[in-house]
Amino acid sequence: MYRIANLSKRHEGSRQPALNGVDLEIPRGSLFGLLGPNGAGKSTLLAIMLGLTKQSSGEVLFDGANLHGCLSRVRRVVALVPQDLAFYPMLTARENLRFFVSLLDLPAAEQRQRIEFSVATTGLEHDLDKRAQHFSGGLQRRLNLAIGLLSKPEVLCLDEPTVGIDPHSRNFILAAIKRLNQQGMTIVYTSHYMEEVQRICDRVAIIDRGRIVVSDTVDHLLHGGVDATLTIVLSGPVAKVVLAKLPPEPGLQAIDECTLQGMTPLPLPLLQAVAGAMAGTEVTIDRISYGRRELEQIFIALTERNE
Amino acid sequence: MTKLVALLKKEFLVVSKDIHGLLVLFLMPAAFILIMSLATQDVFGTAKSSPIKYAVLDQYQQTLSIALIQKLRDIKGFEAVVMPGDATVVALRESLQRGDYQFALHIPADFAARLAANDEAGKPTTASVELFIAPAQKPYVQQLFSSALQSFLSLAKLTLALNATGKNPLPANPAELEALGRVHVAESYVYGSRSENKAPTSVQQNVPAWLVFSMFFVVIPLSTAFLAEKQHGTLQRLRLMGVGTGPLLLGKLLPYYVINQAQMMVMLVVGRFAVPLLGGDQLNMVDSWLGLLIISSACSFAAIGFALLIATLVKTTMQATTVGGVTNIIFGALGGVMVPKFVMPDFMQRITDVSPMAWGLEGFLDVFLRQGDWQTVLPEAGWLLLFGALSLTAATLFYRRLQ
Repeated sequence: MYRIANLSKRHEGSRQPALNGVDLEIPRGSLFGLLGPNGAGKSTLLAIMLGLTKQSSGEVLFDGANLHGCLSRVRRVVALVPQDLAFYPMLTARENLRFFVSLLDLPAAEQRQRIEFSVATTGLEHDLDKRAQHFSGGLQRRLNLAIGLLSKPEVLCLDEPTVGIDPHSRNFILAAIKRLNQQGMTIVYTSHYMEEVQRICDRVAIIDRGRIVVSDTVDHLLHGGVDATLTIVLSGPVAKVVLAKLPPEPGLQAIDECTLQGMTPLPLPLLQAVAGAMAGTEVTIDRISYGRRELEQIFIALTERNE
Repeated sequence: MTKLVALLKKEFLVVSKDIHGLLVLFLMPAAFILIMSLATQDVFGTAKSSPIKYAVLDQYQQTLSIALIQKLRDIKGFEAVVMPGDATVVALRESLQRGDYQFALHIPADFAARLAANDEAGKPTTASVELFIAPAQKPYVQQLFSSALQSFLSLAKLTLALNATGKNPLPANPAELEALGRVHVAESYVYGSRSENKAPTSVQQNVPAWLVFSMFFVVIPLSTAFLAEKQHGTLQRLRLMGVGTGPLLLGKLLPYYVINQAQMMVMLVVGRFAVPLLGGDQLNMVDSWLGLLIISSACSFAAIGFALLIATLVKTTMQATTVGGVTNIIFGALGGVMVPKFVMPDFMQRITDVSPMAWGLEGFLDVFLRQGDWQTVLPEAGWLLLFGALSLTAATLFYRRLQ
């Protein structure tokens, strides 16, 4: 659906490029997670994909055609649910939906159907006549999503759609997004909640400092390769002392005063080395875990900065 | 105590970071003091006074009328501008309608005959000269001028009386004095094509000024609402839904135009019905409703265009409210809303000519006070429309650049 090649963007007056040689492919029908630390370039990438801003160089193809050559089609079939609550709080949910759907130049019957679809998907049936400003955070997020669905888009870009809401509302929204994807809608999902991305996305790309550092299926990223995470929790705050006694580049790091962690296909030699380094101290090993990585661990490992 | 110190430090720090807000807070009083001091320097007499000009049409043009004009020139604070002898009374009244002068004195061709008709005891049988007064001028200025004129004429009468007793210590031309002592001034206010003895009421004087001022205050709600749309991503969402800059900005025009017109209706209703209920004067309705519609529409267009310009320029709500409010107050001060234009020094009057509120005010004065027709307001309406169009164009350019 989207094919992005060697994409770069430098904002006016900025010394560092916001995007620097991004290559990315977002297949049709995928539920694509786009992750990155703050300022990594996610929003700029989304803005270019939506045709809101132009790249400095590189190419963005939408269904095989240059994005800027088919901008009117992109505007018709791609929708954005921004992180901000982009509606009119003084209006009721129904008034908001009626206003936004009226911008789509559709016959009245079709407008009604679109509103019904959006309301049914987001479960707003019982709150349509309340002012949006009186909604809970979760309902406001659902209304934000409902407005994004009014155009029945082929691609829905969601920019952190679950920020600051309770677990019930979050689950509701995630389930709705998953359903939409199952119905064939391509979803581009950005979030800081890794467990959400891990839970609903089938593909994920991690962007850092304007570059894509990894792009893969979630499954392959979590289970692929041979690396797994070894975590050793010590009974006392000597993680750095133990680490210093290990050979250079041991494949472990102290993630806090008591915990050593690293990714390795062979945990036993590392465990033996740690046990040896602890000899003569009163500290013992409290807990050892070894196994599949969480997306958050991968994210931290790939985007770790020495700031 | 520690908490208080911490709070104080924090507040100073927060305030010091808002450079724009601080600038406005310091620039506003500076600009206001500058404008108001310059505007009122003649009123308070701290600088060389610029006299208030009034027109004189002398159709008699004999020794007696020339002597009268010469005497009039002695009235301090006012300057007689003698119109060409072939000018007409209609032209004289039009000069008042245009706001060129605040008063106009007409000495008719049959001046001598009219004087002769008045008896020596000061009992007038007919007006020998006519004083036309622009209704838009302030009553205290009119009273000042009328008093000066009457005291001069009274002095002539007194001198004449003393002459009669042979005890006049002042040398004077007896014939001239005798004639001037018989002068009777008929004062009338010029309302459109008619003249009335009745001075405009305070409600009639106040409505135009506060109407134009309140219309321009749409800048605050419009710019803050626009800013909220910008900050919450609603504008971006609208853009993605194919809403262009033109429709977006024009979509703001009509609702605020309706609000402006509603403001006007409310003020008319208050002036017409509420003020009399509280013992005040009743607002007289305009002669030309079309003229009122034209000037209020043009004023509204200018105010909304300007509000949109501010909305696209500012970045925070604080900036929107302070910049919007301050520019309005400065426009008002410059535009003669707070200090009448004609009491300002000449150079300030020239500056006033470029304030959109001055154009709006003049237009509303045309219909409310001068009872002009729809054509009377066309020049001011034209300037306001031009200002509104330029503001709207600039707002469009700024908004596109913002994107």
